Amino acid sequence: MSDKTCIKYSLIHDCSIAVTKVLQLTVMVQCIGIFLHSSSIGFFTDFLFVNHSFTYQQATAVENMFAWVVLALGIAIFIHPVKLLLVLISVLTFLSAYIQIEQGGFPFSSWAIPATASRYAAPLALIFALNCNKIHLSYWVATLGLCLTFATHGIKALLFHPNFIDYIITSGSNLTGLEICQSAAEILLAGIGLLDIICALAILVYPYKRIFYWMIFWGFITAFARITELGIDMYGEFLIRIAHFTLPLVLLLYFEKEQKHNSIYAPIAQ
Amino acid sequence: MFNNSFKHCCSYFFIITIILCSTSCNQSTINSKEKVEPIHVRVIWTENPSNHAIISWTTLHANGGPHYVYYDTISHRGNLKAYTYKRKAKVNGQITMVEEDREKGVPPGYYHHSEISNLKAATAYYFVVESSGVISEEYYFITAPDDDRPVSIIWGSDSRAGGEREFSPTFSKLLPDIIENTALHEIKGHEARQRMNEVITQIFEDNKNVIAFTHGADYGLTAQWRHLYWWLEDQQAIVAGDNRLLPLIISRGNHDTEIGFKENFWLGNSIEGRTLDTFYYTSNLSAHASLITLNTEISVTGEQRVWLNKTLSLIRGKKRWVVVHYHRPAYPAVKAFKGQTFTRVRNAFVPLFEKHNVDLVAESDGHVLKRTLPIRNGKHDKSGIVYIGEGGLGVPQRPVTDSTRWYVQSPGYAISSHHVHVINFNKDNLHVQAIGIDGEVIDNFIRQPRAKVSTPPTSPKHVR
Ligand SMILES: [Fe+2]
Ligand SMILES: [Fe+2]
Repeated sequence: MSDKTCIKYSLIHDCSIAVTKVLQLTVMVQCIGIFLHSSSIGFFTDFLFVNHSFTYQQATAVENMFAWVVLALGIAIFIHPVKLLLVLISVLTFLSAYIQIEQGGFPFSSWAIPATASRYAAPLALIFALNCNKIHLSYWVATLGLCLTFATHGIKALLFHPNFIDYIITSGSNLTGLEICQSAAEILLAGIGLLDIICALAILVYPYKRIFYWMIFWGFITAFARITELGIDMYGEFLIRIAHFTLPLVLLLYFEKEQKHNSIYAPIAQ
Repeated sequence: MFNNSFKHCCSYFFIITIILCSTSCNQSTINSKEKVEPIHVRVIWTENPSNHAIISWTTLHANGGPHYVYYDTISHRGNLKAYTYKRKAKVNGQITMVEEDREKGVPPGYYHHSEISNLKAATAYYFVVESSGVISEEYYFITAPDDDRPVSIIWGSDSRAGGEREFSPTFSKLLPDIIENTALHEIKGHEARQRMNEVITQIFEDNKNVIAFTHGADYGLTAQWRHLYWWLEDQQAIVAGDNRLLPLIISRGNHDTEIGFKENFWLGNSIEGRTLDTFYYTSNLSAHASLITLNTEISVTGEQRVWLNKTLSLIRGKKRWVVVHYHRPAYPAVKAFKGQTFTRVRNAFVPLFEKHNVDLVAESDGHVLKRTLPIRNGKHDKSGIVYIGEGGLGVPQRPVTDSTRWYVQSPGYAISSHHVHVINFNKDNLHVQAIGIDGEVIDNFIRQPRAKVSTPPTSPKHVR
């Protein structure tokens, strides 16, 4: 093995371990979030019971089954990431988004598939991260998932999603004691929406370290807004959105590895 | 429960997959023959029903106008020239259709909304609507009183039809009987909704004080045309034998978010000029009774809360009865108490209800029948507010598997039962009844007045 290959391998290896760990944690925490959501609000119960005339017992049986299977899968892949289980998690997460569209009943529910893209992208990004030869695929799956999530949230913000207005007004009041009026919240949302869309596009065409730092920060703040708005009881809503800030972290790790790799080989290339 | 889940999970997932591929409406296919007469004729009340109303209807053809309402305080049996008043429809347009609407066979529809004002209080108005030269039957409605006589409203919500499921013949053949027998049961569609509409009509005919039907929202699964069309078709049954219509007071729920909702329920502007497409407003039911409609599907902490606080400050001292209704519950009887939406509604609205001592709150969305204990500061308090609900106009009712929640303990309760409420605003008390699907009285209670209103105020004279 040449020096060059050896250093490259070691860089990829170090990076992959960090990325794999972050993604394993992401998928597991996300599964806990889905479990909590399924056990309290439910994904399937109304869809089956109200829309499709299943008995309530049948509908809740499916809901419970789904919740426990997702939780078990999340824990299993944290202990040992098996590709087949990760595919299953991704499919079940996607299915929950699809059911949200079918069931409706909350603002912009028909946008659930792009809005939750980071959720079902995270396990897929992990599958590719497990194979050193497919790191680039892992990077692109994470990028696409994150891009869709940020872009969709950006458009929702531009259209003044009512819950976003309430996050701003109540969180502002809880954290600073400031009374923010609706029109001010809407102006703020317009700016936020625009920034989200710019970030979503930037990571596709012009990935830049500071953008990833911003997305980690902003993904965390927006996920945590559920708690700053309504209190710690909303932790499930926060957990389910962990990928909003861990996927930019994954991209940052990949990006830094890439930069390090380039700077090491820059003198050799000259 | 978990054992059962395990036994059936495979078959359920199989069935879900099939349903995802083959859902289709089992409601009867609409005759494709073009209908020309105005249909779905309805009276909508907003803020000042003693002198103002909106008349809305649907046509199933694209013929041009004109679209008119002819009205008078005496019947002319459709003789257009005899009616004293005539108003052109203010808002007309094509109802938005999506691919599923066409697949389900609902015909293209057109909405028409006309606003009539300067009406006399507590007076019968006879009217016909005319579209493209075709006139409807003559109907009448009675405006709200502006004095202190007792009035009643019918209040109910969640009229979504039940399961819409029809397997394609191929799947039906493939599906083993044992799975069908285990997982499927009789599909009732919108029979329960139709039955509840009969109950409403009966109450309306029996109780002469009933002046309006207030809907706490979730009219259908969506506000797309295939769902609203059938809701409006079923709604047409709520008419007294002498063609008296029961005016509707409209609110918006979490399944009513599509554009079709605003197209079919146009409320115009408020007295102070605010657009009512926000679906929050106060209806003066009489000199001493106000009904506040709130909207849980828009921001609840922004302008709406500012408006609510201002409105309650203004009317609480003047009205003996202030009742509030909206869709998503602050005190859900079966849904997750700590759910995000319910917590948000509770935090935003309840402190104002308690500050201004509203007399009763009606909530929807949960698909059970409930009455809470009087609640103040998050606990049982005799001086608190009673919340009723929670959606029983035909949507399948959830079983109450956990009846230990503190706020539905006796005399409160939560049960699984289709229902509608009658709220009677009397001088001495607020009398509330819950009526079941067979017309039986399920609940009956009274609330004493809180406001010290000594003399009846002068009649509200907002002229539009
Ligand atoms: Fe609802
Ligand atoms: Fe509902």
